[in-house]
Amino acid sequence: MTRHQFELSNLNVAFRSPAQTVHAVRGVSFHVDKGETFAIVGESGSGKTVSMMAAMRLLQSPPAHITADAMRFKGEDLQAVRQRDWWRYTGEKIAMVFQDALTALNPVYTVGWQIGEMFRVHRPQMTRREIRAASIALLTKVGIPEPERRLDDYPHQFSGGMRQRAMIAMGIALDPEVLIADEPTTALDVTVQAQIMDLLQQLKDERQMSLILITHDLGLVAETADRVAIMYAGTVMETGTIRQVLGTPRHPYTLGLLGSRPQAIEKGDKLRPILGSPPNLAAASRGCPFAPRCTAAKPVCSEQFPPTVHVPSGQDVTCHVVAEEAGQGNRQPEVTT
Amino acid sequence: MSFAERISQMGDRLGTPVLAAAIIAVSMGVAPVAAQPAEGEIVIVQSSEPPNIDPGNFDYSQTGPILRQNVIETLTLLDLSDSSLQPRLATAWEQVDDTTYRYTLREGVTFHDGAPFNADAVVYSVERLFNTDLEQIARNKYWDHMTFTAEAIDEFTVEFSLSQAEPVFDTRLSQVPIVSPNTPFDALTRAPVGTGPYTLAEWQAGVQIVLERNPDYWGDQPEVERATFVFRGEGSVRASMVEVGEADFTFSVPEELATTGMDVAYQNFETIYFILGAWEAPLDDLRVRMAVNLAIDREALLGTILPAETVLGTAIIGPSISGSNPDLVPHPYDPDRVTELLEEARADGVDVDREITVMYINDRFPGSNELVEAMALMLQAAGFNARMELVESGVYREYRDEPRGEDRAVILLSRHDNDKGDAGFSLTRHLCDSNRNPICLPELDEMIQTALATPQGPEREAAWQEVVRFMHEDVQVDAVIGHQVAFARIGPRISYDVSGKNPSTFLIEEVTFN
Amino acid sequence: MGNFVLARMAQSLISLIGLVVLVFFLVRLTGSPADLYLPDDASEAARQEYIRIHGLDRPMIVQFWEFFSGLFRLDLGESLRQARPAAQIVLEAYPTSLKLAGLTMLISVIGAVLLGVWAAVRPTGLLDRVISILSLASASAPNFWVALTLISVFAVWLRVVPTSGIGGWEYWILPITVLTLRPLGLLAQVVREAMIRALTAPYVRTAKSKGVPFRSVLFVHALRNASLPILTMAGNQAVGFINGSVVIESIFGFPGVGKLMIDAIQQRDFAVVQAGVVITAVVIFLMNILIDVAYALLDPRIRHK
Repeated sequence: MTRHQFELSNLNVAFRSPAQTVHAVRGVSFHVDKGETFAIVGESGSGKTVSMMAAMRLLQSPPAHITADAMRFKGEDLQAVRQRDWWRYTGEKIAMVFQDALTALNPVYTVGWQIGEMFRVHRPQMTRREIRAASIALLTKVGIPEPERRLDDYPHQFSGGMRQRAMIAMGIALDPEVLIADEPTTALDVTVQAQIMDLLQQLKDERQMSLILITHDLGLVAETADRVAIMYAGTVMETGTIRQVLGTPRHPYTLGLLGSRPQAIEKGDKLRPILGSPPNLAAASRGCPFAPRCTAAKPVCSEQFPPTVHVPSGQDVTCHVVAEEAGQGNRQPEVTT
Repeated sequence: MSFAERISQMGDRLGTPVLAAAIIAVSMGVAPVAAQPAEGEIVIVQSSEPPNIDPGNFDYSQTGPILRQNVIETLTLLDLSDSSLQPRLATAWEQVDDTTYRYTLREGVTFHDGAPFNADAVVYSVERLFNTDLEQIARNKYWDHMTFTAEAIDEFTVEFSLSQAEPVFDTRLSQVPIVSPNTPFDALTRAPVGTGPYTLAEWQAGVQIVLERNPDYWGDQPEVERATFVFRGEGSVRASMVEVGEADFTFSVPEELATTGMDVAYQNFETIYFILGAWEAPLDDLRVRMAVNLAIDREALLGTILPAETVLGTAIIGPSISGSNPDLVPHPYDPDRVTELLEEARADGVDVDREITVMYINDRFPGSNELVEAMALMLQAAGFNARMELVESGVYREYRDEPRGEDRAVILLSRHDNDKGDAGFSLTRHLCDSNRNPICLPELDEMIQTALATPQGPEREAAWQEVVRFMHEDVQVDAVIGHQVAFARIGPRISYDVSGKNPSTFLIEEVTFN
Repeated sequence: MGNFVLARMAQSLISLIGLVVLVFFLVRLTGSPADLYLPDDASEAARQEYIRIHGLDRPMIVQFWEFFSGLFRLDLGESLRQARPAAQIVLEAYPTSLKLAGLTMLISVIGAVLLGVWAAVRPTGLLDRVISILSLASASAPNFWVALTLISVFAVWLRVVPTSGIGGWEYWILPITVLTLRPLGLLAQVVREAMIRALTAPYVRTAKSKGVPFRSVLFVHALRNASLPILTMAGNQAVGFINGSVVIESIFGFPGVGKLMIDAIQQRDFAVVQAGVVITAVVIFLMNILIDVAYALLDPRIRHK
């Protein structure tokens, strides 16, 4: 078996309350290799962030109920790691950069303090002086001018782009092998977005990190990602390389997203909403979640969860229609809900 | 690293169990029990702290138990059990004429500050007492009708000259504090200096007042070496303190808690009575006032609203006061006679149906509000048009004192204290020229004038007894209920006889250890 | 910050003057102190003498001017009852009250933070419910009743603490326990609410993703952010305590300013009431400045406004 840097297999997340159970993530599987950028694309509520939060143990449980066949970091079983040892992984080996750095940074501590906390938690042998020097180096690295002075500023004294840079500085502080960036450019204006993405790419190349990019910006994906997963209503609909998925899309949902866009996808292009609205995840549907909005839907679509098939163009597609065309219509669904 | 981080890491290292154990250890740890009084020491707990302890205010109920005869002595000591005078700083006294008295002083006595006690010291004490720029209860309680001066005849003889004849001058003089000549003349002092068996050692404001035995006392050395007075407003706390041994004595325990062997009921020389507003109809009619007296079921009040130990009375002076009349009995409860009397009065045109208001000041004493309620109910039951009304003290005084306010028929709950041994201190209120007189009866006026002018002795006592009888039977402007009792709690370490003393005196010299 | 303090002082001075005028006339509306000081059957002459000695017969405006001009000489007049400067009496009582209030608030805040945080970690859990009920009960139980009950249980029955009085640390246990209950209960609720809100904030998620130990996430990241509402409530409670707890001071015989003020009002000891109000107003003013400074220290966003 190949050793991926990070790998999820058949991840399911349900939020249970006495009133209802919401199936936020159903059967999500993907992997990312060393030095690779993997993008997860979907509308808000499609489960892309929840998947990563579940993997990073950031969901409160209960109400979250998480199961997975496997969660691996370089082949190591992450589910077997005891909670008391989890800090050796999170932040250290797998780090996260969140969207909206204004709220994701603690407003009452200085930027320097928050970056330094990475070292205080993971590198207790470092002295104050060393930590300060390392933090200055990080701010320099992410392109913040006058880092010595800005270190003692609070997040609200930073501009939006600088906050995001500071957030990235914190994420890369310990040279993680996997960096998860959750909508890192959403709240920023276009020129700053480009700068931030360039920075992430540059850091990734320098440090041979694996980058998991969570976004709804198709242009961004086209420009920066090596591989992509399209998520809808908690399920990965189609996954493959950028060329495969965006060049020869197979899934009706992906087609719908791209259909009105024959020209090359450009930076800043957002997912186009498709007619209808995403399903209520609380109502447990046995069939394909996209079926109600799918123009190619067949009766089986609303009755059976679709199988995932490897199509000739190289990507994996979770769809009854595609499976039938490929002659694999009878394959058992991989996921039971 | 921030402080919070550091603490939090420490918590991580120690772990929750250790922290929890530490908290439990501290809270369950051996807390020492309160300090008990030391050998030779007693602790007295009072209901409140005296606002000041100037000797001129030693009559004040909070100051008295601390100062009176313990620190500050008087020339003579009034024994309330029989109203007699005993020598204290004076060894002998005589009346020279109507307005002149001569006292022979005890020799070899010194004040706590070393000043000698002599005639000059007595003169100074009298002059200070009459310094009217200095607020002193010892003056305005006993000498607001007259003055006197003192003159040193020789070192140990003093002659007092009175502004007017006062047959009970000796008794009044027993309430004059004798202070060191070094006591400031123009200011109240917080460090009273006298000749008593105890000296003031410490006053820690709000906390305690400590007296220490005076090794140079002229009399016998008492047993108690040190007496500490502390102050607690809550009766149950005072009771608890004596119970657990933190204190040895308290003058006042709530009646409902006075159930242990340590509790002693004593007469506190307070008499509860109602003033009948005889200046207004229908109470200006003797038959109506008699009816009020007969409408009160006094026996029923005992053990219910008032403590069972309360002594029903016939006059506002207690049985041990000179002038009280042992031949009289309290008015009985007689509803039939009430009806008769009211009908008689009605037939004569008296407006017996006029509304009568029982007025009272909130919480004058324990059970006072309930007593007023009972009074109003009993009057209604007997056929009176009675109601009750709570008033502020200023309003109350407008009805009690002349010139009186609105024309209303009122009955006022009142309480009188007589701890001076002579009926004259209580009954002058009924003289015609008193502004507190409910009714002016020339006959009564003359009887009181005569009694006041009669020298102390059996003759005077008989004269007062006659006044008391006349008031009880033929005037009836007071509806006397009874002589109050209070409950003291005495701890097992000491013995002390509370009876026959008023609650503003606590003679530490009489305390013995068991 | 200097300007800010000056502005606050000017503002407070105006309210202080208003307060002083109000108090001066209000206490005098209650009646004459002579009625309360002199025995009930004191003669009219004695009453007049008392009124003359204490200058209560002079025109009100003259008395007011004397008091008001005295303020600027820091002279708050002389107690009718104790015949010594009223300010001295009030200042003597202050340390006890401040100590009582300080210890109470310290214990309440620490206790409330522990309980509130504990409850907030698992909202609607069993522990949360138990803590909610306890804090509600402790916030609503009457002090008077609690004090007497604790005395009879711990001082009389078990005899592990003294009934009352002032002395070593053991004398502080019962009064502080009683005083702590209410602010502890109220504060624990506030801490719980604020922590629940803080724990859902994105920065808490960030901290967790950094590998910060959960204890630090709670006490370093979330609590500091939750501290403003806690400080507001604690400040309100503390300001209330400055005037002491009348009930507790009376029951336990603590020589504090609350008991002093109540006695002074009941005895119509005008100068002491006035001095108490003036000094308390100043202390509350200082407290509020301290609280404002604490706000600024806790939240840099306030500091930089």
